[in-house]
Amino acid sequence: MKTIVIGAGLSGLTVGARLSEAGAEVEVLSQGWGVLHWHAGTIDVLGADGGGRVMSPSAAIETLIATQPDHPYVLVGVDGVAASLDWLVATTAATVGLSGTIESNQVLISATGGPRPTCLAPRSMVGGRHDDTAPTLIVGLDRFPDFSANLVASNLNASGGTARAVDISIPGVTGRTFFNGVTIANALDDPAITATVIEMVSPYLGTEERVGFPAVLGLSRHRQVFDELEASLGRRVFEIPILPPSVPGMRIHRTLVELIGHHRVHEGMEVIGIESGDGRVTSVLTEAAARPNRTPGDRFVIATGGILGGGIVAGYDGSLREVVAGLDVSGPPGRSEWFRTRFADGKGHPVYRSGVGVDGRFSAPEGPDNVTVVGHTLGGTDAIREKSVDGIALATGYKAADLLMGDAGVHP
Amino acid sequence: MTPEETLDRCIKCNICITECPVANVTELFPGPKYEGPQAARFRGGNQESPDHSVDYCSGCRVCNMVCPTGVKIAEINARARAVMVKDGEMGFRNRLRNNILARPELLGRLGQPVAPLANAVLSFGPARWVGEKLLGVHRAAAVPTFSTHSFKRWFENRPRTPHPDRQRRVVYFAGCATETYEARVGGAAVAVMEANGFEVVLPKQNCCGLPLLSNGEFKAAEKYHRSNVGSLVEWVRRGFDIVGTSTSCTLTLKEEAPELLGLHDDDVQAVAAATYDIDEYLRILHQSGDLTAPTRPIPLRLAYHPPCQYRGHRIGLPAAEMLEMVPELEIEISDLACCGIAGTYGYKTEKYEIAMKVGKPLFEFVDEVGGPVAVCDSETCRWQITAGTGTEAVHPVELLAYSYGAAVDEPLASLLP
Repeated sequence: MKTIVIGAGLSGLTVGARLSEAGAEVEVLSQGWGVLHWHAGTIDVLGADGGGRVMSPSAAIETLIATQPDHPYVLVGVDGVAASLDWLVATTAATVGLSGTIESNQVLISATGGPRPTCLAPRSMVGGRHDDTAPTLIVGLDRFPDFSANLVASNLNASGGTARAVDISIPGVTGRTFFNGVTIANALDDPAITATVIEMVSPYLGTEERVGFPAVLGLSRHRQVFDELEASLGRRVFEIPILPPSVPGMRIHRTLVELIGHHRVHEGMEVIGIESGDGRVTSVLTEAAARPNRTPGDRFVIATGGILGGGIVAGYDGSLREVVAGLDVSGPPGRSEWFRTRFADGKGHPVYRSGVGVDGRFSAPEGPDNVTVVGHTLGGTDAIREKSVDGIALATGYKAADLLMGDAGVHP
Repeated sequence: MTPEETLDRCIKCNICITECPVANVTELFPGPKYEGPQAARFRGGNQESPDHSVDYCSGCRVCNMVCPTGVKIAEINARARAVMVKDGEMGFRNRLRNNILARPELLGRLGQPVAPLANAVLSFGPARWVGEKLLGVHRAAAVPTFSTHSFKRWFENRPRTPHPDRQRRVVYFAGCATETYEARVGGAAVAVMEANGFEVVLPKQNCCGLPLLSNGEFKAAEKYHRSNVGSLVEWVRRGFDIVGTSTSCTLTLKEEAPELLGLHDDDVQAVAAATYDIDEYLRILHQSGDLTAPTRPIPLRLAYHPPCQYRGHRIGLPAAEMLEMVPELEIEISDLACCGIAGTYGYKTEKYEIAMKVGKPLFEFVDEVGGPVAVCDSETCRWQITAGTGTEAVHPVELLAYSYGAAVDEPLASLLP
């Protein structure tokens, strides 16, 4: 049994990685890279509900399941969400080393020096707790537009912290006309450049107990870069997520793609149609040179995202459409109901809750039997507002993979 | 939609920059987002390119592949380069050099008949030094050796065995490299198609024009493409499909030439729609249950690099799927974006270092896998791999031909029983 996963964000790669681990045949098709290259590298499960900041995702999810029957977490249950987190922690242990529990959120320092609740954080970030008042040095990079050490330090000080900022220059990197987080991370993968950074930061260290860097501490050699910095600086080191392209998200992307096998993950292959017979999809057609390319399979997983990810598109008449199989999309009946009048309305905008409704097997009731829908193509929540984007993608992908494994007769 | 019209889809996410093999190794190319969708906003109405660094785009298309919103960045860059060329901004020497490098057919006609002499000249240090100083062709860049026989001549003179099982017929598009340098690849393609019950025909054909397209010489490229279409469309109208082994030639027939040159008439479209990479074609046969399975074992473990131009077809990795069917053959697939050579790019003095830096991770991968040969679908990439590692490289179809029971040439011949 061959499963074709459409979409290479967190939900699609989770399905792909779990099936691969279990020895099932799987192929992932995606239009391009997306979510994880823009991703902070932390896993938000539930950070806000109607009452404000969520400190315990498990308790808040219980309430949410009891009160919002259409929410994707209802399909997975608290135990399912917890199991998916455990799986990702184990899967990334050798690379980014995510840690945390569903019982409580960690509140980390954001790119502007504010508080940011999240459930799982990589080992390179757990030292960056926002409520930690230990003296902190924030290191920025000269002429790097995507991160301001000064802004972070002054906001930390404004909220009761003790922070100082310094900008350093890395020869051959910060002098370039164009550079971004990935350029710097690639440079730090060279041990000589890491040593230079250590040399430049050391003189600035005083009573500081921890040192914060923008999240650019190496890509392929990340663990070593991080360990070398901590050992040589003699302080706790932590990364702060910055504007995309985002290195911590790319590290998770690479971990999952490696698990599936990079030759089974095909970017540049946008699904533009399906072929079906007897109520089942038999193959997908992808955009290709000269004519669509056909990929046959037995099971198909739609992990194309929602309105933001391109999995759901809107017509000028206000209709909403799921792009792969044309599944029914629930949502406001017309354009005039998409938005509330105030841009920053505390209740959010109705259109963002739209998506495909599914049964307990992640199948759309009127859709083809062998199509599974996961991640943000599912409706029933305004995930960005709720700070549950990663949790929903991960947990629904994880649970759907369980069902697919059962169908394929393989075991995790 | 023209390539330039896709720029409005750009959401400035920078993913293309993170994956661009060239921008990752040199500051001379600021990256696909800057050169493509951003600079294109300043190029309206046939204005000159605002930034000549666009010539440092290697055309590998990695940016297109990773773009989450479908911007045709590589094509935007190629067309901007063509405007530079048209406006006479390439410089006399570079333009002369590019026009020589971009005419493999002409070079083949001159060099192949006197192969031993031509090969001796091309491997003669002082001659390469002169070539570098005079023309700007890097002295260390990977030049192939001319075959002692041309593919066409071999095809026409080979002993024909009448075969009642060959019900189907297919056109083979050989490409300049097969015609001139690697006739063995064409021989293997013919053997594989015949093993699957096809009669192979070789109609009149010329260079696909891609080297000219990637050097911005659009006028000359259009002439080549129109000539190919004129000849091939007759066969297509009679129901023939066209298969090719040169992945960049087939991509040019399918898409590059029509899209870059803005040629979309019925004949161009018919030829494009009938053109297939040979492994793509075999996979379709396999999907419909019409493929004869390759059965002779190949007890080797080899590195396979799907070149950027192959990925550019957006068909997945059919060659890898075919090679997986060969008994005992173990294939380690590279996930590296590009070997660096990018057609004629890595031959140029000012780009040679960049090309070798881009290729370095691939060279390391090939060395690490350590097989007696490497496998790659594109000719210039095979030569670049050999230049970077000392390991000879073959086309996947050569391994298939052996597995189908055909005799194969060196370097495989002495490796296999």
